[in-house]
Amino acid sequence: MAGTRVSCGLDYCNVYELSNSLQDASRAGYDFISVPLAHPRFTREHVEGKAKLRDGAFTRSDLLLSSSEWNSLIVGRVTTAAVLNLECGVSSLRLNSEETLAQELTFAAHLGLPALTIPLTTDRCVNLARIIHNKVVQGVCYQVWVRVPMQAPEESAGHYRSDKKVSEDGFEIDTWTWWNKFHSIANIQKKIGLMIEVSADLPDQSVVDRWLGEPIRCAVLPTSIWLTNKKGFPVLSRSHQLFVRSLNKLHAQFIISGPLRHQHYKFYQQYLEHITRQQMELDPLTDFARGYEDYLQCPLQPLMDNLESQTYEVFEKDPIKYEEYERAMFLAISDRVPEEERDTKEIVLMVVGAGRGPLVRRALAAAKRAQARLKVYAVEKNPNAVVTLQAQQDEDWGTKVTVVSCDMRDWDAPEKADILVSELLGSFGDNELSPECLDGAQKFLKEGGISIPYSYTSYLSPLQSPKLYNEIRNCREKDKHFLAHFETPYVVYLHNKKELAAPQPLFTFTHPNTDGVIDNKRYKALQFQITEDNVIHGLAGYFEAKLYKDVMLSIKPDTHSRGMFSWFPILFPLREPVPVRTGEIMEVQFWRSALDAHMTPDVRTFLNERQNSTYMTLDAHMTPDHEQDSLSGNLTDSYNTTWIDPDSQLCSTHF
Amino acid sequence: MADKEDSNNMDVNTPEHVVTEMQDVATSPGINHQMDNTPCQVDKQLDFVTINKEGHLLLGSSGLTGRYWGGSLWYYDNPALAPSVEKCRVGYEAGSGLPDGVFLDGEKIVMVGLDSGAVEFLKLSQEEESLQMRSLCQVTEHLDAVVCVKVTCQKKSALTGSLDRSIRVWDNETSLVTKLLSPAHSQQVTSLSPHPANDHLFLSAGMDGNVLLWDLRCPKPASCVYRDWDDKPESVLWVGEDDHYLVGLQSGQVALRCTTNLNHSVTTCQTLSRPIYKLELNPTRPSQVAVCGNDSKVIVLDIVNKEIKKRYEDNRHTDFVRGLAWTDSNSLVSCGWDSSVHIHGL
Repeated sequence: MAGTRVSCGLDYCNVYELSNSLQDASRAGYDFISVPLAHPRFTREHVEGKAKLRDGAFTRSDLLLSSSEWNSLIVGRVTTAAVLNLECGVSSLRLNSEETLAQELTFAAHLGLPALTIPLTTDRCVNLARIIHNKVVQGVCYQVWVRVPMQAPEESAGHYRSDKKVSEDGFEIDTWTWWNKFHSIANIQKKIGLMIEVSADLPDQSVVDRWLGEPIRCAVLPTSIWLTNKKGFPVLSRSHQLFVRSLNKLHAQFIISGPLRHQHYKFYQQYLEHITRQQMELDPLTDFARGYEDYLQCPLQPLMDNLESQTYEVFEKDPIKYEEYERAMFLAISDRVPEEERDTKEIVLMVVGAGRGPLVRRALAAAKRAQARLKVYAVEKNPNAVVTLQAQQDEDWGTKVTVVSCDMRDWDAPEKADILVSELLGSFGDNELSPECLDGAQKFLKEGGISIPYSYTSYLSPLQSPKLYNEIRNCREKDKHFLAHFETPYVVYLHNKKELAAPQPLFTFTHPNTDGVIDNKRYKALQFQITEDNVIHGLAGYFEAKLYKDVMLSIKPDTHSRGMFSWFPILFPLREPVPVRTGEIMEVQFWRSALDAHMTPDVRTFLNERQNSTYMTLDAHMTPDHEQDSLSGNLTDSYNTTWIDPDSQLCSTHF
Repeated sequence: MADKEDSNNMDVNTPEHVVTEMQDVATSPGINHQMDNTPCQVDKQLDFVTINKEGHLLLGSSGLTGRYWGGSLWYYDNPALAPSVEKCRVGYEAGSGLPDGVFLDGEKIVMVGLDSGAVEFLKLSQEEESLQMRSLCQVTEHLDAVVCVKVTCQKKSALTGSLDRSIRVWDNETSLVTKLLSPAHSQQVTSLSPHPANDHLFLSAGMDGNVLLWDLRCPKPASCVYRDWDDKPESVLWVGEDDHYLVGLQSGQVALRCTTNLNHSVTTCQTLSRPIYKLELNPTRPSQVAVCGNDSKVIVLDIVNKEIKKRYEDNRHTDFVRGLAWTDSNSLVSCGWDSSVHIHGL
């Protein structure tokens, strides 16, 4: 967890005596050590010859450490030579390597190791990935950390070669594709994580970001990439520091490897501790979201319903949202009442979906600041929340506030409002009660009255995140169709991901809607330029809302209202990851259809891949966003269809 | 009687006695220390043998499976005495396994590569009655096990290859690295062969499937002379002073190749059925090459008129043969992971 101390291990290329090495590492402040499972040079023979009958153990005994030490302090390393020969053309050798690997994997399970590491140093990894996948799906105690170098050794080795051209930046061989290939063949199993070997020079930020979108469990910091400061202590360059901090946010562990280049190994660990402690963030959003990183909030969780009162409480604590509402209401009230009429004119403000009254309180505060006379109607459907409203009216508000315990669509307002205030937005803006409910409520608004918010736009961007893909895959419920969990959007604090292109605006709605016939059906196709080889696992959705004039709320990353935590982004998953390549254009078609009296919106996404690939179809239930549970009762009936369009030629011209 | 006993007791405790005892205590650890330098047993896996000018044998052993993954060096006047603890002239305990080692000067100075990544320089010296082996220095530059140590033809420099993918060139005078080639291969380096006549040239084999020809005079010193990912070269050896060399492959084949013809091998010979680990040239008869691999066999090949012929085959070892050394033109010593040393007369 971020905020707790960084977990750091020490890598030994070879260990003379295990418990001594463990003690040394522990004394230097390390949490675990990485050691070979068997001696790296000890080739075993499983196929033929006299050596097949070799006597004796193939490695050290489990008695050398207690099982609690094996379980928590030792990360096992698989023999590199065996891994390399898995893809060998000589079949007896390949078979021998398979047996060797099986022996080591079985022994790791016997020891109960928490993790073992497998080197991935080439894109020839089909057999390896197959074996690891088969092992992992059987159920194993250990995590598999696949050690991938950020920079291919071929790149640096190429500098010595007279018969080979070297790339300019040293990152022409994309080692991410090795990992991606391995991970895809191993079916993106959750037990398989990435162990990234940090290079001395870091690649472009976009490449670094793509790594950060992978499920990084561990990062190797070889002693050779460390610099020495004036006092002789090891330090990291600025860019490495930033990278380490980003890794720490992903709760990655660190491993120091290589021979000692400074006075003592403890200084590396201490430095990591130092730079990650500095990181302690004061941002309320990060603070609030701790523990919710990449946690999918499923629309149909009964847990969510039970927490209702707490949910109100949590979201009323949002430091930004209500402040912005108050600012918007203050400006609206001030504009609505000229200074000379302040004592005479009374403004009518309606809060539709008042909940436990945060907006009512803010409205009264805004009116006080504007020195205006205000009459508030608080309309709330949830009878439990109405109790809170009535209690406040009784104790504080008196006649200034009228509490209406009624569904806003059934309510017959006694008078019309100057200002209509609501918080009906979902994470995707229009995926909740807006705009349909607001369209319904706008009959309460005077001609020329103000709606807060008056406009909102949804945004969409393609997302790469094997982690989230796995989370969604594991959401499967027994009594549902086996793809149902892929046809649902999720509210999730996106963390371990890479956004592949900047979000683009999708649908905009404005209030009050002055169209003759209100139609909230929408269709739009967005095109995203792909700038590197990627895999798309889903689409991230955000919104930007304008409350009044330039007062805004946003969860779009680049304009995010700082510290606001009421909304996490929405995620539209894809059933199958879609690989895309540099230079391609990805098109997303998005439908929004208002279907019945209950105005259930329906979103469909099409992701067109290359000519020969199939259409991605996604039908979404609409997610009731947590803070608006009180109003969403009638609207959660979701509309669900499967729609597979056979015409995949449609967008082929883009490629 | 009682008085006498008392006086005896007194005698024992006289200052003079104490002094002599202390002297004994002070001198005996020194002797013990010298004795203790020789470890009490040879480690199980015998990884290399090498012969110096005097015909003496240096044996390197490693413990690869037990509680301690250590190593020890053993020096014998006669190869036939190995691997006995009692009959050794001197032994030395290293803190890590010893994959390879050489006599730098052909006589007294030893350079060994360790599993820890260190390279250790040792010296044999006659001190009073006994022969001593003392560490001159230990240099930890490699990141992983040093599996290959070779001396160049002029004996001025040495080469080390490591599982860390790098090759280092050492100055034998100063014991310093004069050239770092890292990474030399994109995978583990498995074998090196300095050119028999030119100090600047050597060959290297790696698990990336490449054999590289290095010319240290060039700004870009390496060029690829052999590449096969499916049947990787694990050992390499120059034969003769022209541009021919042998490659020992994972399939157990030994291929005779030429650095000027990259397209195909001159000839090949299915020597073993398992990967070839080491190729050792007979220094007095350069047409003969001893071969061992992940197999219990020791083979001697004869290369005559660009043909490879099996000249000798021995299957006395019961586990992988790791070390090979020629004692003279007709005699070969081998050691292996079966803890045995065998002498082969051709």
